Amino acid sequence: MSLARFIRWVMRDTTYHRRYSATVERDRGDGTFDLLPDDHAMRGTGQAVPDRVGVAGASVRVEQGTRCLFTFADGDPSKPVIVAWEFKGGSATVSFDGGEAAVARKGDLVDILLGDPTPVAGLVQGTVLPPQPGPPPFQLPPTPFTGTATLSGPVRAVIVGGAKRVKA
Amino acid sequence: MDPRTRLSRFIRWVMRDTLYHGTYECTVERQHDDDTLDLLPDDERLRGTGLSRVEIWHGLPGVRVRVRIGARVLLAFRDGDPSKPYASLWQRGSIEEISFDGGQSPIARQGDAVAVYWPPSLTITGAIPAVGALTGTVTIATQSAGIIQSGAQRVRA
Repeated sequence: MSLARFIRWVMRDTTYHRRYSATVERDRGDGTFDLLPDDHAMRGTGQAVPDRVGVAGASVRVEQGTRCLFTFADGDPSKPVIVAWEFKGGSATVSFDGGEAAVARKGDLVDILLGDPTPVAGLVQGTVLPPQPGPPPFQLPPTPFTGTATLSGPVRAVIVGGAKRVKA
Repeated sequence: MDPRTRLSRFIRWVMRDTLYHGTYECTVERQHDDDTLDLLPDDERLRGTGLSRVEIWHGLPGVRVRVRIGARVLLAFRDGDPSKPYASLWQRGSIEEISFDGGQSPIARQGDAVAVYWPPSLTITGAIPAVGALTGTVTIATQSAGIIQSGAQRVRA
């Protein structure tokens, strides 16, 4: 054995210090992924690999074919972990703290829930248009009113504000 | 050169690829339209004239970032290959914008404004004191303003 090969053999654990490129073959849904490493020497090390996401509290689901980098915790070949992801539109769903609700964005619709009929009380003012034939229209000054209101349709709203630097 | 130094240099030469197993501090000099970065590594072994068009790989899939010039980031190499540099892991305050799945709409937060659109009419039934029963319709011609009152406890922006 040449000295160079001997040194390589002594230092063989450094093989597991690299970050390897891989393609996701399956998201198992339990925070682990089956990977196909680009490096043929690493094939067989990519089953049920957990991810260590870069944001604490986040969890991810990804589509088959998503690209990632994995390495080995403690330089131990029995401890592969995913450490980074390549951006690709439509490749992933991210949730925080186990949340399942979609985050709302500027421009998203909001339904405002009111009872039907809705109790109302307050001041009524404006122009009164009595049924015709009948008295002519007249101005109603601010007048206390108590009763109910029934909407002819849904109350819809649109979000007009939002974070300047965080988009989805 | 003494034998010990010669052996050390030889071992370094044999293991020279391990230079690309490490992570290195860099400064962002430019971000291109395709999000790639021009980086200046602190480590003189890697510095040269800097690295051009380095990809960003993210701690979360589906994320894109636009970052500040001068931001600090770690540089590493995929597959230990010097032709495959990538940037990842940012110093706090590096961001200009973060987006998910290529989205362009700002995330709504508790306290953000909402434009409310009323239906064509409200039918009201009730009474006015000293006047009597009143039935009619009310038209709210203008949109109203609302404020988002609740939000995720642990996700903030």
